[in-house]
Amino acid sequence: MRHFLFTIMAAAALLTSCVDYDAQPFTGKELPRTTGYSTGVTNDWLYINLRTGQMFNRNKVNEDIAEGEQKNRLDWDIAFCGYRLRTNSGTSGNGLGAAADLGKGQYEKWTSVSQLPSDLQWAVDDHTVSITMSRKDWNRYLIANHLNFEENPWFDPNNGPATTLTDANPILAKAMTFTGPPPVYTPSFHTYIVRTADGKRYFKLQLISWYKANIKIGDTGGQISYYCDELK
Amino acid sequence: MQKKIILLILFCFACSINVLAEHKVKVTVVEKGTQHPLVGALVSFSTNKELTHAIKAVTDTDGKALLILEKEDIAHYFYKISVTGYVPITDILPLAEKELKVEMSEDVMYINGAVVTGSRTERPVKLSPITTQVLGGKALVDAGYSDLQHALQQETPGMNIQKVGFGNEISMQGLDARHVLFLQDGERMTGDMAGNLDYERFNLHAIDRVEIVKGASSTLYGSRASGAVINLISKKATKPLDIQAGMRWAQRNERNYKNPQPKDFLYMFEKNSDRPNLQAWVSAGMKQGAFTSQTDVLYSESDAFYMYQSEHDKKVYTKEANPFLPHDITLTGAAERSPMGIEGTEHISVAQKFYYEPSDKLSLQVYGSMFFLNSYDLIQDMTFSQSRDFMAGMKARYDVKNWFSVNLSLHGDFYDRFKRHERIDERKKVYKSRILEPRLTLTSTYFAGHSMIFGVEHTTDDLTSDRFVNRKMTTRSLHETEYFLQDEWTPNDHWMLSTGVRTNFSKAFGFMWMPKIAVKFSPDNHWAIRANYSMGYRAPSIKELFFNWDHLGMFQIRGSEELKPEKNNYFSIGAEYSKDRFFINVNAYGNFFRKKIEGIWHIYDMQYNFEYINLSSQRMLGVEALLKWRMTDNFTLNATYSYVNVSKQNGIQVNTTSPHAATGSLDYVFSRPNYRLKTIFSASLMGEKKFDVQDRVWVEEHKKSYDAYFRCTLPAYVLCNLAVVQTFYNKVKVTLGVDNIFNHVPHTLGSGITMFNVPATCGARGYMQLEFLVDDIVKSLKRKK
Repeated sequence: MRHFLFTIMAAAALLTSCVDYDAQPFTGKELPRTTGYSTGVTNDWLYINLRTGQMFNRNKVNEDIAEGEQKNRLDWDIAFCGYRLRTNSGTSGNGLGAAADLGKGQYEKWTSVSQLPSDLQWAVDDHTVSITMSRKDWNRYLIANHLNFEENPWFDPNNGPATTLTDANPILAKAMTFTGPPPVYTPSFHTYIVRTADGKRYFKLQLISWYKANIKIGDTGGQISYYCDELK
Repeated sequence: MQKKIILLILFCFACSINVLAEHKVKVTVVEKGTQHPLVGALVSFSTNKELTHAIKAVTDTDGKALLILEKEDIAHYFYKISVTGYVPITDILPLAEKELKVEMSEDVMYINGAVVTGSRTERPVKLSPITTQVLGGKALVDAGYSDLQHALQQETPGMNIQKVGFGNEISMQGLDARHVLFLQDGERMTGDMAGNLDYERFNLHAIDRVEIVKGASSTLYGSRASGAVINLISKKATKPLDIQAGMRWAQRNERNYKNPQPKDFLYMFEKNSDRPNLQAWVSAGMKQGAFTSQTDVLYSESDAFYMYQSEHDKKVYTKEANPFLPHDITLTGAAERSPMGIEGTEHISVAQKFYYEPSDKLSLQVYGSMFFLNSYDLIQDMTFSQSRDFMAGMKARYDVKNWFSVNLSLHGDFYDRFKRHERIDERKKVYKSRILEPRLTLTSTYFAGHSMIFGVEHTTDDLTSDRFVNRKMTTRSLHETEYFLQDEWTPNDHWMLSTGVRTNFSKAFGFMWMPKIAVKFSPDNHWAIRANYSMGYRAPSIKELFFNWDHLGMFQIRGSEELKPEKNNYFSIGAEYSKDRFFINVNAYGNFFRKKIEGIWHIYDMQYNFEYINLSSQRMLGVEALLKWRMTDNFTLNATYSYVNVSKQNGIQVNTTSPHAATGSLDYVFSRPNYRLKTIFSASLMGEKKFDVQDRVWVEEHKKSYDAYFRCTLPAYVLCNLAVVQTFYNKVKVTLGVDNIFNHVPHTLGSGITMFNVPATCGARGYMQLEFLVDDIVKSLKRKK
């Protein structure tokens, strides 16, 4: 009986202590800061020049490129705001950027431009993508439209926080979905191809997680983890 | 020398007279059909029908007992043989007979056993003044249930257990988990979320029986027993050595990830969401003289899966629920409905009990258990949830002559919940809950016809959470002292009257008292009419009192220290008829709540706030029926039906219960020596659910938004299970079965927050179960050697 009890205790201890941390270190990229409505600005975009690796608005909202200024600049290729993305194309920018969906997974498979299917459906940015409004902007909207604050709270338990439409890429809008409450961000794990602003280079992109790898327990996330590599 | 020889002769003569005056009876007790010996059967022989001053013996491992009786000047002896799980046998044995072989049938209807929940003292279920539904633990395992949640949902009318964001959500007779008190051997547990415990902590293989008492039982069990009490009575060894072990394998619910690789960002998440559906358990009991030990261990793991809805969400705002609307408004969601994730789990539970019973007068028990649970939800938030629980306590009973019994107990339960990182070896405690409950009760049957109980108990309830003050771990406590008194008076064979009262004093809520009265009338051995009134109460929980949590700046959940305990008046009247092969119980009830505590959404400070308030009155009227019919020796039919009508408030139905619910099972048993086949087909019906959900709607005609309710309609469904159990030589049991055999898959998940009201199933799944009577197998092998 004593042996039996000892075995039981050991098994119980094993279950609690034996959580295997055998994942390899993450080799992808992560955003340097959280972007989007939680910073107080609805259109808080972090711009990245994929060709040089340069980032704009890296440390705070609109420090390099304010909303609207991105339109006439060709020194950025992709931008993040929350879980929405822009390419330098269409309503977002005057560049030759665009994005296409290469299907689920198989990120490693795509290594060169020559592999890309000829009938790839490229999408440029438009004004159909919804984005979560910041609370501050929602209040401004209520004032502008003479709506009652007590009747129109920013957050609705059945529908989530208020949203508005913005300039963003409709294909990349499917790269991550949001449901809630409770807030759940789910990547599609599709591999996307992004064309740079000059129309000459191509980068593959896969969103991995709303969270960075070493996030603290309880942190609400937003520093998206992703893979992004150039196709030769 | 001569003197010594004379003395020796006299002694031998006296001995021979004594031997001549003895009458030895060899009793063999076997199971009907399989003929395997029944160990631990209590055999009582007496010269009178009432079996007073009976000579008793217990059968050994060969099912044999030897009774040495005094020769009397009678024609026959009266005897009774009883063993747990079998129909007791009462008969006569002619004096000339020296051997008796008895075949006992399994008590498939469970109307002969004893129950404790309704009276807090043990008494036969038929003699309980309160209707008690009993589910045998062995029968639940035979039916192939993997856990208690599935077993209760399939076997209890009107009980609904759904998966929700934080685990399981239970409802019964129109009441939620906050009104249903789960007890383990009569003791409370802690670690609940909105009244729901980690139901995984109950090891189905360690349960002797489940006793379900519906209606308010606050007089005996205090707060939270205002709706129902579910008491899980654990096994206690009756054999010198009884070791059972088993394992269960079930088909995977859904394969979420193929070949997870260590380079995957979500490697641990991927591995954990696709765990195999496996269980293994050991149940070891030992009884040596006054000492009894019972050990139960269960390991279980299951995979996570998604439930899908192909159509977009649709919300209908009716004019009935929203009189200000110009017409019904239907809104169809623009986005596709996201799949709903049902978490997988991995858990282990270990329970140990020691009993020391040196005499009929004294009984001592110490017990302890531990439980560890990992919950693997399908939310990719880099964490999973871990829970652990330690429960311990002691019980002592001492009989002071035949005057009264003193029962002392001390019970503690210690529960912690953590968030554990999926990439870094660290975890963070987010919840800590403790209860400590000393209790003293005096029970007495000294006065003829009266069974009295007086008790005093004190409960200390501590809860530490980061949801009270600024996301810092803060502790809030409740202390309650309660006295209760109950008398069950049986003036004659026909009538029984049970009266009781409980007083409660706490610093927070002051003094309260709750009475109860129950009457049972039995015109004969077959009929019983029961009527019951009891007052229930539920003190606000610590969360309802002190919660103050900002959910990411989106909304607040707020408790209120101004909350008052809610009270309810429960009335029921029922009739019961039982014969050898037939049992029916019909019970009608009304449950009337005052100051019911509900959480509602309020807009102020420019945001939605979820607040707990003493809302208003609510009325539930219902009828329940239980039927057990042993049609032949082979076929048994079980059926239950529940109807409940919950009052609306201003045309709004906030209660999510379906009015109609039913369960049924048809069991077929075939036995022959050393072989037993049991086939169980069970079905559980849940009627259509129609309820209103608080929301906000924009009315174009008025150019204005309103607080409004949309109506959610969820269709009726039936879940059916089939289990085929074969037992070989009473040593090995093989079960093959299919859960949800007709492959019911819900197509509507419900809109918004209503999504938690559909059955968590992904369709038909098969399983296989193996059980071994380890000690019997070892013994057989030794004999062969």
